[in-house]
Amino acid sequence: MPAAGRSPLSAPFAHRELNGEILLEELADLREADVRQRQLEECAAALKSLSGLRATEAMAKLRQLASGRFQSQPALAGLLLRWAAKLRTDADVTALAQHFRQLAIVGALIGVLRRGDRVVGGALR
Amino acid sequence: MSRRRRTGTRHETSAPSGAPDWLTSEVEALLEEWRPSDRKLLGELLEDARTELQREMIHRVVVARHACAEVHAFADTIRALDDEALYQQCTIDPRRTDVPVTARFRAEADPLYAMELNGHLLPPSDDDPGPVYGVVPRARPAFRAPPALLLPPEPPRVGAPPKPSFDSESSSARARPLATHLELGASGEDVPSVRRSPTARASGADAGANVEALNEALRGLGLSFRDHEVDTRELPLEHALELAAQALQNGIPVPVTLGREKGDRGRQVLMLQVTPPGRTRAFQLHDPFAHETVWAHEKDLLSRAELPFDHKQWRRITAIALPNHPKRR
Repeated sequence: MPAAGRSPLSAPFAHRELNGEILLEELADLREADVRQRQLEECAAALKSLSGLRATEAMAKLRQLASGRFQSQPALAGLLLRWAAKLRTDADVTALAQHFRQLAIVGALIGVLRRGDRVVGGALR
Repeated sequence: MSRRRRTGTRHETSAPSGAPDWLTSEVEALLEEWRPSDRKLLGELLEDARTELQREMIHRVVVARHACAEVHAFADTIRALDDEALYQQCTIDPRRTDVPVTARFRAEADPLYAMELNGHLLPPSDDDPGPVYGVVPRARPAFRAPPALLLPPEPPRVGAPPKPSFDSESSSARARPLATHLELGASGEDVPSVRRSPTARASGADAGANVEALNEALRGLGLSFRDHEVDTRELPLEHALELAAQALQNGIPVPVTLGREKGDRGRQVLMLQVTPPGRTRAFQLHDPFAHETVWAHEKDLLSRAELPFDHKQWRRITAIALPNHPKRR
């Protein structure tokens, strides 16, 4: 759950499924687009530096990341831009950085779990 | 090397024209459950297959309910083989006495399983960390049959044993895949046909190996986990849930193992979220294998009787991997 800052979270960041169903859908889309785990972790690390920035500053920084460092990954860049457009309050910035961190963690965990099951059980479904 | 491919070619995903009716209908039914992109990939794999036998083997692996990634790896592996080599790799030598009857039946219906029994393992992973769901390679455990299921050294036979043939699919003697393969050989601890998580064995060594894999994958994110069996004197389930809630409130998902009873390690799922403090506590659980996400009230978890997943065989939490520093961001 995103932590609330001084200003209230806007609706997209206060959504109950932000780090649940929404996160899983984003992860599936990134997987579909062949985004690598390492890139996701780099993105999460880049967004960590957003914490403390004002919403407008963070928005500009996200756009910069999307058109620069992650330009070669349209799916990831698109995700950054979509979230950038939703930033309204300063608390949203922290919630977004946390969301991307969780995206990276869940991606890594699911990868290990899935491979682990395949290796031992021989079947996934 | 990434195995995933994306082209704009024709994608035929139905069973081969010469395939028996049951195989055709089984494949078509299963493909409805697949994502469109996976169906597209399967079409490409079938197109790339060099012989009818390769195509039939791929369909058999699909019918055996292997994941798309496994079908992909299998198809890539067999592409270089001629039919004779493929047949040998996917057929269990009838003289082998270390393969129980149940595993033998399953192997007849599932070429990928047969290959593994014959010691031909699919490539575990590539140097590239892979897509977002990229994984950490682990060595596969050697197959060991439980003594109770081993065949006698010289099994009594009446007449010559029928030679298994993949060309004689319509024969009634051919083993058909069961509706679910999970229970084949499920009684044996060492029979690998049971779906289990990496920590599925009772031994702590396996659990440790899986946590090592988790920690390796999460090293870049500055996280590490430690595996704990729950409902022990050291860690009652109530306390484990409290610790899990703390981790989740700090934005750290928590892997948990589900099982039928205490000590049983059946399937690993992820705890993704917990409701904010002040309400009746509920945990969001995600099963990455069934692609199912549910909210479970704490009291339901504590009842140790049933979970809100479709698969009712996993009744309770039996183990949990807790972050070593749950408050670390």
